Amino acid sequence: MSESDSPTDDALDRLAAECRSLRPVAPSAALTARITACLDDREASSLRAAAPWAKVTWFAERLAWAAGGAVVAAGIMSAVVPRAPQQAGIVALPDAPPVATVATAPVVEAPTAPAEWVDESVGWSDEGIALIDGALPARVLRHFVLERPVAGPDRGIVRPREDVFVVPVAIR
Amino acid sequence: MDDCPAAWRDLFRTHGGALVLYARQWLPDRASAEDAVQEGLVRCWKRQPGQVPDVALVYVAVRTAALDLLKSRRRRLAREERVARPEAEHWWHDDDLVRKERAAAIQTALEHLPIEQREALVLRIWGGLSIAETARVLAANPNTVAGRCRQALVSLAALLPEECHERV
Repeated sequence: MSESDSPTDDALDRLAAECRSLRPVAPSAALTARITACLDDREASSLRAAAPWAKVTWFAERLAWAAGGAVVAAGIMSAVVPRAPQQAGIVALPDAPPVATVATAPVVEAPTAPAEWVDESVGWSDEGIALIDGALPARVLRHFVLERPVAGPDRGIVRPREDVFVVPVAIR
Repeated sequence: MDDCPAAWRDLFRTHGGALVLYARQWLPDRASAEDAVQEGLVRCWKRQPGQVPDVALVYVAVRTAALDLLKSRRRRLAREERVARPEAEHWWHDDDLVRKERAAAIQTALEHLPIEQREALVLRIWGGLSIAETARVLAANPNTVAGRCRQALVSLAALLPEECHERV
């Protein structure tokens, strides 16, 4: 309160000083304990949240788990399903013996087939759904092809070829 | 940063009694006032955990918590106050018998003041806040706050018993 010469103000100042001399009753021990517990609890959680590396560690840990899962899944997939050739479908290999190629999706004609050999499609066979290693469901398709040289010394030779397509399916 | 929780504890140690007294201006019993202080202080701490506490903001939080508590428990608190008249509760601690009597008289007089004057006076006198800080807590103009404090003291002086006047 402001100082003043008027007796009223002086009396008010003295009353204010007297009031100021009264000490409020201290909080109970129970309240003190409750507040201390709350502050300690919040302190621990805020320290965890405040540490910048904590978030990075948290993210890295989860990223590592996700990456590990992806690697394991890729390993299983590569072990169960042989890798498809870069050109899915019919690939002409002039010098190689007839082999069965496996692709993940049926492609009927290979646009990059060598010019001196042509493929003659004989027929398709759908063998339905099969379980690979008893675990991975897949549909098995077979494509029967006859390879004939257009020109050259091998003209007249016919090479049979069978393409096997194993298409992973999801059973719902 | 590490000292901040200690600063909050210090604040409670220094202002705990005044905070309870402030909350008590709205709530009918000390237990409810302590609940409001806990709620307000913790709420304020959650909002600014890594910072040194702003005393005025803590008083604002306690005021809000007290009003929330009053709203939510109004019916029950009114019933409890009606049914079980609490034992004479002292707002101030004093061992001296004469001063205790005087303190009781001031308490009774204070209870008769309008809430606007009472809260301004409690913040200024027992909270130790400046006019500017009190104005922040009350969201009022500093001149208004100064006027309320003066009016509160005038009313208090008028309400105090005759023998008390003589002391003043």
